[in-house]
Amino acid sequence: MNIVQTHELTKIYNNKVIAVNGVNLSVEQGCIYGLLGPNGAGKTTLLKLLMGLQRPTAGRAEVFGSRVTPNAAPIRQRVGYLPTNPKFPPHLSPIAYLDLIGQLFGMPAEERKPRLASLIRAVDLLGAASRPIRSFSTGMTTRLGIAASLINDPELLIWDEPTAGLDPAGRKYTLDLIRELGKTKTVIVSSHILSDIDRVCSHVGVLHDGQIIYSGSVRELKQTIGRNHVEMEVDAPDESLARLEAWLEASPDVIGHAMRGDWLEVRFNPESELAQPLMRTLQAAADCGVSVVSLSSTKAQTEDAFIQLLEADQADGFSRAYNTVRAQPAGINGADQG
Amino acid sequence: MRSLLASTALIKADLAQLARNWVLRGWLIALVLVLFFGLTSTLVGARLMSVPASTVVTTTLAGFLVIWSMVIIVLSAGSVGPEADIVSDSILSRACTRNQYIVAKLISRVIVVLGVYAVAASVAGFAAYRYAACDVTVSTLIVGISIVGLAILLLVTFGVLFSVMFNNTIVSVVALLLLWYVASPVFSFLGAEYLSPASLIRNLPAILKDPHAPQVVECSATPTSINVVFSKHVDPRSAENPGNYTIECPPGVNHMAEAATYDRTKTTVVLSGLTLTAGETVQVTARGVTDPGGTQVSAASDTATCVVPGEKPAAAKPAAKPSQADKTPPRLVRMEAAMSSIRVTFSEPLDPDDAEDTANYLIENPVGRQHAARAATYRTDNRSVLLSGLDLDLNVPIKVTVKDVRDVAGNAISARGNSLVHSEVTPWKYVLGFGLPALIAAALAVAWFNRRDL
Repeated sequence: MNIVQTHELTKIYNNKVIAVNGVNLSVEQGCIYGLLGPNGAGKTTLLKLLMGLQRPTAGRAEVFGSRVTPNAAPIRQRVGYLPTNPKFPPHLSPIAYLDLIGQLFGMPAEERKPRLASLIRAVDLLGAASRPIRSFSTGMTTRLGIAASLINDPELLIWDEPTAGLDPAGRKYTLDLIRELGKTKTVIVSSHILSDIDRVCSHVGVLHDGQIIYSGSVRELKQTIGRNHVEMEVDAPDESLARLEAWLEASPDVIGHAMRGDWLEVRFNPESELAQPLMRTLQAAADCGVSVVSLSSTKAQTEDAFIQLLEADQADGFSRAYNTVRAQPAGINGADQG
Repeated sequence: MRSLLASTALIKADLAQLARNWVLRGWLIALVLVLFFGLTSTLVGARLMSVPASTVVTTTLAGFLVIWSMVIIVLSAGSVGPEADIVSDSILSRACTRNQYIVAKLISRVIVVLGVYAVAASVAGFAAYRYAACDVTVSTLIVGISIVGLAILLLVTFGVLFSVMFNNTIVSVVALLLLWYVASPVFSFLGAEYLSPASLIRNLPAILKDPHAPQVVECSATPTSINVVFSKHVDPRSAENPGNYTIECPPGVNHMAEAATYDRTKTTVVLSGLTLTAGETVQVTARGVTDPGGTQVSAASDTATCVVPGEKPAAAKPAAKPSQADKTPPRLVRMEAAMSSIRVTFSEPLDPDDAEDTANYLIENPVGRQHAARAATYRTDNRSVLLSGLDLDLNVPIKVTVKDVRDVAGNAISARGNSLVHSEVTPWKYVLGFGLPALIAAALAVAWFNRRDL
């Protein structure tokens, strides 16, 4: 069952800036969906459209099967939203603010008060509970935002760049929390930090220039984009490495290779099976006198996939206008694989 | 239920925010000081100089339209703009609608501004009613205060509308200040000049004054005095002037009282120093007596008759004082206006040459802007003059002042009773004129806010 569904969702600001361009997105119930994209890709706009904070120029967004509008309070009743770098009433204390939004969610005092107290404790703001929000650091404000997004015990969490501005400990805490919440809730989390998405998300959508250029599971993304991509940690004199590189150059199985320090990256033909070409390459390394210390097929796969997607999207240029691009990068279907 | 709780929470949150607002706090302090010192000095002066209550209340209400309106504009035009960058993250991303948010803003600002106004206006109204020369009634006070309240409501709704329309608070405040303080041409262009603050202030005394002219209710006589009972409180200065009473006993024989004493508690004047014949009918006419607001005794009810107790002498001699020639100057008693003409009625027959001289009539519409009649036609049967060939705006008051007109006995019209003001601007016109645009502005604010990207 799709909790979030968009149909050709488009947002153009003042006929000047195209922020979101014909996005068709589906998010299934129970998944942790990462919205990945470089800065300015349209992630925040897309999430605001899903929250009804902005009106689409064209297309529509549906959450829980209902169309989202600025007055869609019943939908937001079931959603917890954490904006990027959130701004809250500066004169209020966390208790006063959480109490206010608890009332907005229609929670009676006997339910609201204990809930906000436990949330303040959970996000480690107990010591700052009486201080005005204006005195909060970025991390404290984000933690308050997390508490605010959870006060109504929502079914769907939409968190926009939740790790932005956090220190490593805060970042780890947030990612662990997302993983934990993902066990019982549907979570949409946006980020431009690939490792965050890689760590917590089961599904991912890649947004570039306002368009979804990939949507599917993280594993599929790795398999398809990073397929037959191997990194070898090698130990050998330069002449041996030169012989091996010459062999790789001539090999029909290899479509590319690069030496980075002690690591040799080898990209095999993605259309063929990996085992035989890999065996032949290892044999060639041995013949050339190159010692293979370790072998990896996972390192930086998501990052590579992401970069490849962006490069492919940009290379396709004009043809993107016809939506053909979304089927191009290694057979990825941008629409609805979530 | 959930929706009601959310709306209530938003209103309470905005009221709490306003309570911390230094503009509001400063306003309250200034208002209390101005009310205290202003009212005290005015009312002390009123006790000495008989200042009408309508003037005292008008001064207070005009303060809201002219001076305090600046504060009201800042409070209302700064309602949404300053929190535009946080409202999306903190409020509208939760389970509330934009309608709820903007309506809560409107309600809280209206509650605060109109609450402050209502308290201040009520204090001024009560003080004026109680301590100044009372020319108002409770109902006219309520009407006057409500009309200005509606004007303030219009200002608040426009303020919130501008706050929604312009992201920048300074721009919205300046725009509304400009609109409010140069409103006369705008309202004039819209054919409703009476709605401009300046025009409203001009009309307020007329709205606040008791519209019913004082009447002579009854009289009772002794051989030496007459008690004249009025329907309401009258101005003691006019009431205690013996020259303002014509006494005939028997009819046709005039008498002049030596003194007139006004009893405020009984709204009664005792005319003393008379020598009246027992058993004769006495007719008393009060002319020139006004209420504290300057409204003269109604010409239709300015006379009362009674009988002097005792037996009528068998051979009654003429009254002690001989009949006097007419020395009473004519007065304007009624005025009716149409778009192209005015009919004014006088208290007694006029010299036709004077009455038909258009130069003898100063016509102002609104007060301060002169118009000239092309013709003046006198009718002897009802003592009225028709001033025609005019182009009048009935939405603003029309004032006619008569000079150099004499009655048939040669008495020239005096400064007292030579002018009347006609106004067709009824309270309902204000209710529609202010209330309807306020509703439209509120609806526009909601609609505009719904269209905004946050």
